[in-house]
Amino acid sequence: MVDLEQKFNELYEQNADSVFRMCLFKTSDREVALDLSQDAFTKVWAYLVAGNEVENLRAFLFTVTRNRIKDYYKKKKTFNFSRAGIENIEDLLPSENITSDQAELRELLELIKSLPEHHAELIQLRYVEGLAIEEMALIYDIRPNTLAVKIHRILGSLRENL
Amino acid sequence: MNKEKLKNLKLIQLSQEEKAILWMNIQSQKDQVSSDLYGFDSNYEKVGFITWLQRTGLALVPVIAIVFLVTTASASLPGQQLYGVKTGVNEPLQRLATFGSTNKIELEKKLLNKRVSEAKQLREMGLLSLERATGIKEQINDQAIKAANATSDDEVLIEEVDDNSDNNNEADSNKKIKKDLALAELRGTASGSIDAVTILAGESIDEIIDADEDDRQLSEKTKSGLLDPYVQDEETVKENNSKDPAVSPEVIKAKIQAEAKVTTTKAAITQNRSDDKNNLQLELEIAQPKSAVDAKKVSELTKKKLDSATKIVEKDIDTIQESELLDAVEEASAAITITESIFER
Repeated sequence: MVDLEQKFNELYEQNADSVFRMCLFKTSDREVALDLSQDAFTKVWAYLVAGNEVENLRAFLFTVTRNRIKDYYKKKKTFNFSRAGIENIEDLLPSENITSDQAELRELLELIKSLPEHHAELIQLRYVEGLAIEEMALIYDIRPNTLAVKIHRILGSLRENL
Repeated sequence: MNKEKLKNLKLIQLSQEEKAILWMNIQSQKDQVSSDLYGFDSNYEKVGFITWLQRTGLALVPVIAIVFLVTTASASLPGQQLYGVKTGVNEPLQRLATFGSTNKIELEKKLLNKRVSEAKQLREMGLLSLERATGIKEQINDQAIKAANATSDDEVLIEEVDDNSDNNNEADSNKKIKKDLALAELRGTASGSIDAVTILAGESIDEIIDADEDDRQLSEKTKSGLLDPYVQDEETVKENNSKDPAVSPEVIKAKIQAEAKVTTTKAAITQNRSDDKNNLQLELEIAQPKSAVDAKKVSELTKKKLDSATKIVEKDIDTIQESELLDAVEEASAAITITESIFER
């Protein structure tokens, strides 16, 4: 149990911000993003404590997070998951003082917002959260090579559009 | 655009206060086991965990008892209190932790078999009423439909990239063959499971035995609900026809035929094994003569399915369609499911 606690604590420390960001970029609501993040971690804990083994804990965490977001939108019944994304950029900008330029952050968020939702998700997981291609391949259930080529093409189209 | 700049988005993160509160909330739920395990909504649905505990009367149950409940839910049967935890929580989490279409389909087959073994246990306890059996069959039906749809291409966010590599096209063909075969086996397992529950509940199976060869043993609801891999939309057909296939249709058919023969042989072996062991009727322990399982009728049903599958796989490859071969896999899988469910301990 001590090992499990440690494993879970590390998972939280390393991924709390990433999970939160994923939820925030989908919902544009900090409160909802916090709730969804809490649900995701708690579900993962419950699964582990019941004695289940997980091949890749990080991939599992993000899969659970995606599913929690989907459930949230199903219950909202306003629009479907594939159209979930950044609504109001101002809601996402941090209120705390930061050293980096707010204008640059705004520009990057506009860029993410301009992409189709599933492209934005891939770019976020790969280049913001730093997930490995193999981990993402597990989450989306496609071949790593296919995923890598797809991401490469999305980046290419981003460069063309700027 | 420098992709490194995207990392600056990491500046959008939890504040110190938010991180602390999030951790605190997770810790308190860890101690009482995730509220989601018991099916209530989290904060944004405005139902508090404490309120739920009070409503269900679980507020005074010690933490260790709750953990015990979660881990023993897997042994529960339909009608028992923890059965909802098993099917509504444990099993969905198992699905989430399973990656890859073929692995997902294998898991679904195991879960379908579990439904039948639950029906068997209920029958041994004298608790398998016709009503309960109908409920289990509907559950099998729904499970199979969801499983087939979950492995469909509808939710794939990424289009397959045509990178013109022969190796990748062959790998894609093999992956498609594997998935088509797995889906055919899933359909067979589902229909076999439904027939097995029908048999265990003591319902007549004469109609099923007497059904035409073309009439698959699935209910109309299941037939229309389960994903039909042969139906493709116009766009997909156009796209497929425009590509030069690296793997010829004849090769694909030959591969599927080979696999179909393997499945049919397995069904034949399973059938022979059960025929040798079971020349007697199975009887209930309690006095319900009408519910006795007629081993001869079951054998007749499975033999019919096996004969249908064998007839197909032995046809000349030039005359046979890919869809017929997958039907054979479905029939053989159904026969295996029925035989193993009813006769094997």
